[in-house]
Amino acid sequence: MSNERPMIEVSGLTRSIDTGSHRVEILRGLDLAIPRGQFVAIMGQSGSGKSTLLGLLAGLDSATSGRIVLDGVDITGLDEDSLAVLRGRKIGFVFQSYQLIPTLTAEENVLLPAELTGEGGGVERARELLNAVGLADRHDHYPVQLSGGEQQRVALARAFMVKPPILMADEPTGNLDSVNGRQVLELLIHLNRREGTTLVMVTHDRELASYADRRIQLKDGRIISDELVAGSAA
Amino acid sequence: MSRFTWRKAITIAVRESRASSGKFLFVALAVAVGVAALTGVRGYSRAFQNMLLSEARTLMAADMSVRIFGGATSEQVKAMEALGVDGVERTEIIETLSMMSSPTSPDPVLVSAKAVDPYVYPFYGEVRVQPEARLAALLDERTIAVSDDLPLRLRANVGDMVRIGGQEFRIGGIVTLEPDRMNGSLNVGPRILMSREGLERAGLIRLGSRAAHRYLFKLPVDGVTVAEVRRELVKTFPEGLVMDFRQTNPNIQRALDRSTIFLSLVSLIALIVGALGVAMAMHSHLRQKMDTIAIMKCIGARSSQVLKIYLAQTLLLGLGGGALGVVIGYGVQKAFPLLLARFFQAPKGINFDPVSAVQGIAVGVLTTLLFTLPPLLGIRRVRPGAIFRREMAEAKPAWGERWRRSRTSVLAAAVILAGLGGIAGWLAESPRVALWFVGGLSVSLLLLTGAAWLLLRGLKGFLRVTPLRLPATVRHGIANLYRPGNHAESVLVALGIGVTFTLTVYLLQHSVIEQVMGNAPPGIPNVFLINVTEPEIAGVQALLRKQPGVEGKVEIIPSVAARLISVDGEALEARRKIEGFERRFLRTRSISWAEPKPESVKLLSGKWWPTGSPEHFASLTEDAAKALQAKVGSRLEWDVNGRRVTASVVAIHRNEQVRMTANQEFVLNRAALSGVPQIFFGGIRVQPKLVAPLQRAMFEAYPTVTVINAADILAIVQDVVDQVASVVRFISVFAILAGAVILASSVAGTRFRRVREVVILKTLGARRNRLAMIFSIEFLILGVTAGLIGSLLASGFSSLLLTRLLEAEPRFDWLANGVTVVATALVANFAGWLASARILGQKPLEVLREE
Repeated sequence: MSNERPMIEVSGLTRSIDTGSHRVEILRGLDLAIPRGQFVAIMGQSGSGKSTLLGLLAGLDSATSGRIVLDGVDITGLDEDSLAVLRGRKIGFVFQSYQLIPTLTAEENVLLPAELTGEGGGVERARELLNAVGLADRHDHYPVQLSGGEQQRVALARAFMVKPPILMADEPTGNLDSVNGRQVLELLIHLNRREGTTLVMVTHDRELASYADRRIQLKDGRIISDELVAGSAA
Repeated sequence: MSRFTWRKAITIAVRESRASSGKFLFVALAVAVGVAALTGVRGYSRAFQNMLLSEARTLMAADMSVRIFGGATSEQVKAMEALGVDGVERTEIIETLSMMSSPTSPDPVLVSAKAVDPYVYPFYGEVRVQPEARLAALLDERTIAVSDDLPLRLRANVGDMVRIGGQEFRIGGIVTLEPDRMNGSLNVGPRILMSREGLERAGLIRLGSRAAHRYLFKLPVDGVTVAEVRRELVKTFPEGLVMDFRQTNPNIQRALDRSTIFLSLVSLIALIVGALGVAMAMHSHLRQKMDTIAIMKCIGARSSQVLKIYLAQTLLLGLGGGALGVVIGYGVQKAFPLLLARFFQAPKGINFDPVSAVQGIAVGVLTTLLFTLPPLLGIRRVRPGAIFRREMAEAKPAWGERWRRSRTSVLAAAVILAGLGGIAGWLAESPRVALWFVGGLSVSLLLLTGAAWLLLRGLKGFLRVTPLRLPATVRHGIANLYRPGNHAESVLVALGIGVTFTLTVYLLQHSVIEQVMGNAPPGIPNVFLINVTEPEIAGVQALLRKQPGVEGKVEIIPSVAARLISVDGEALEARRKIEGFERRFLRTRSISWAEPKPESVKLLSGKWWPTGSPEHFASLTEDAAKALQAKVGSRLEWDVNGRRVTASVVAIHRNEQVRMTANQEFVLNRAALSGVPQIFFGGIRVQPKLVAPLQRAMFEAYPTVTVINAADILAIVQDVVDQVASVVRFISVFAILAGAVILASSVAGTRFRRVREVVILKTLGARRNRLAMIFSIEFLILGVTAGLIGSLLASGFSSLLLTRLLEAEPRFDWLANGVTVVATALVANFAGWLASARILGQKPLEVLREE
């Protein structure tokens, strides 16, 4: 491992939810460092806390205690707007259920992060990314007019629009059949390499995880294994 | 980083709306219905008031008038000329009495002569003459027009010569319509209309002649106001009677006053009902946008940027919906009277009113903004993680967090109420009305929210403890009301507010119409008899009973000439300084007696006397009581033909119907005036076409009795009153229908949240009729509860408004309240079904795939 400062640093991270009648401990004190450019797969069964961890890493949720540093910035004390600015500049997202804005076309969805942040180029970059994911001819289609695989490819293009140093993916192929799933994964890895991003992917799919440089296993809110893969499947 | 400009925000907002144009149209339509209700009611009221006021002007033939005895002094003429600089036109009318004779009749007749400048008079309306001719072409130095009873009395016809003041005049025509006749001071005998030159030639006006001068004024359309001219005239003519066109007739004045209050109240209610539609539509619209907002935040949008986008969208919706609403409102104003022409007399003169249109759009945008405030403020609270863990958002937050959140809601509610109050104050031009309005709305909101809270907890408790084995659909329907995310509370509050104000309109209009019609009921007398002596009463009544065209019973009112001497033992002059037109009380006036209380007299305070009482009692009008500083318990003393008559004031009254003869300012009991010489006035309703034969018959049998035909004038009064009533009805129907549409849309707005539930139930095997049954139970409970609470609140509000603003007695209307409860349940059900029909037919996979 190089001496360079890690892209993501996590220390003593906990998250619990008060449901009114009782308290649920989702994450119970995690410590983690992810170097720049690494592809990490976070694995675990349903309810192990992997999606919560991803949400906290992206500043989408607040930790109960602990510290998260992204690219040298401690995000634990940031307010909502500063987190939004940070996300807009540094993080790209791919969700299991795509989360495209249904009222915008494919191209408008891809363009949106750039319009909000004022970074990452304009329509040319959006078209180039749509071309890269094989949807150049579908740029004016609305999400409802696209198949699941196509929607996820639009989401991939959107995630890379502002050239973020970090990409977070939550079960990116979870809603897709194997053919579409594989196609999306290949695109994800291809774009990740091309753009040189740090990729954090949550999955419970072992085959998918085999493409990663590193696999972290969660169970009941704790890391039970953290292994580097010598020669990943990709 | 480049700035996120408004232009960019508008671009994104427009992109969004373009994609789901159907949903946006629905929201814009809801805004439009609200604005249409408001502009419809306001524009209609404005047009109606203008039209009505122009009819009221014809009864005066002017905007204002001053009546004085004796001509104006040179200072007074100068003051009137000064008004001319401001564009105020003026003409003088002189009225006097004279004897008139014809070669065919041996006896001369006492006539009332009215001299006008036919080139200027009348400023409004028209004087009609038979055979048809323009007044200016007809009246000259030698030609006059006469009332329809003169040919009978003088046996002279059109074209014949008659003598007035020793000069010969030709009868040029018979006057068939003279709208300002009731404002004349001398209504004795037949009338003649002549030019000023004719009057001079007849030599009727000499020093000391008894002549009344009336100056008519016409104000410019823009510029000096009625109030300003009135102030100037009152200052110039301290002893004159200054009147404006609103005061020509007490019935019209009251109808106008009441309808103005009613219409401004309905405008405010339309504002609430309209705002409700806007609120429900925007609330539902933004709730659906929560996921989109969360996604935007995930990909780097700051709250202020999202706020900008949705604020832009709100403004576009408000503007678009407002403009559409103005168009719909105007269209409905035009079309509605035609549709309802069979039921109502369609008011005329509806024109596009730009002031109402601008007000409508501004109110549309403002209310949209105000009601979008809570969801817009909520944008800051949308956590991007919501799209990961939806179930967490449903978890009950801690008390501290709940209080923190409700603090924002309370603040938003306060801003909304203050904003609506401001709009109400602007529309009603009265801060007092705005306060009433905000108070009423706050009370309704509090009561309805409390009732909704109780109902939902009550139902939950009921399902838990009930030993009844309720069918599964019923249990499901009831449980649906309180499950998380249902928003039954807000739907109930919205429905309740809608019902409250819609029913308030109905209850108010009911009372207002009753009052207005009561002032001029269809059988009101239109022919008056003057100078009937006591021995002639029975004969006159018998003649009238036999006469064709006579409707209803004959009213006989006694009249005694009397001069008021003292009030509570103090001489009238000494008691207080009586000035201006009130000095009429110092002169000999007509007083009357009545037992029991006549129907046309409305008691304002005190009690009417028992029939046959030997004591002396009196009742006087509120105006007389005010001028004389007399009250119930005061003692009045009159001089009646040299005899002193005293009576205790036991009541203060108001004359609800117009009388051309006895004014009934002072009414005493029979015992107080027994034994003093009296003459009697009569009032009778006659079919207008059969007045002439009645005049002939009366003249032949009782030549000293004068018959005054006021059918034409009463027809105008009746027309105005009928129009007030029909407009009140029309606007009420409009407001009630708009209310129903908005109620329906508030239920329909919940359809989007039902999609997921329907799909899951269908996937699990539920059939359409089972789903429809579940929803019906839910809507039925909501409708009945909202109907019940809303109707109780409406009864309370209408009682308050009727007693405080409209001087009417409220009573609980069981039928209206019952119908409201049933109608609300039906509307809620119908709207719910209509909105859910498409969802019920939807294929589950379409929705599940989108999820």
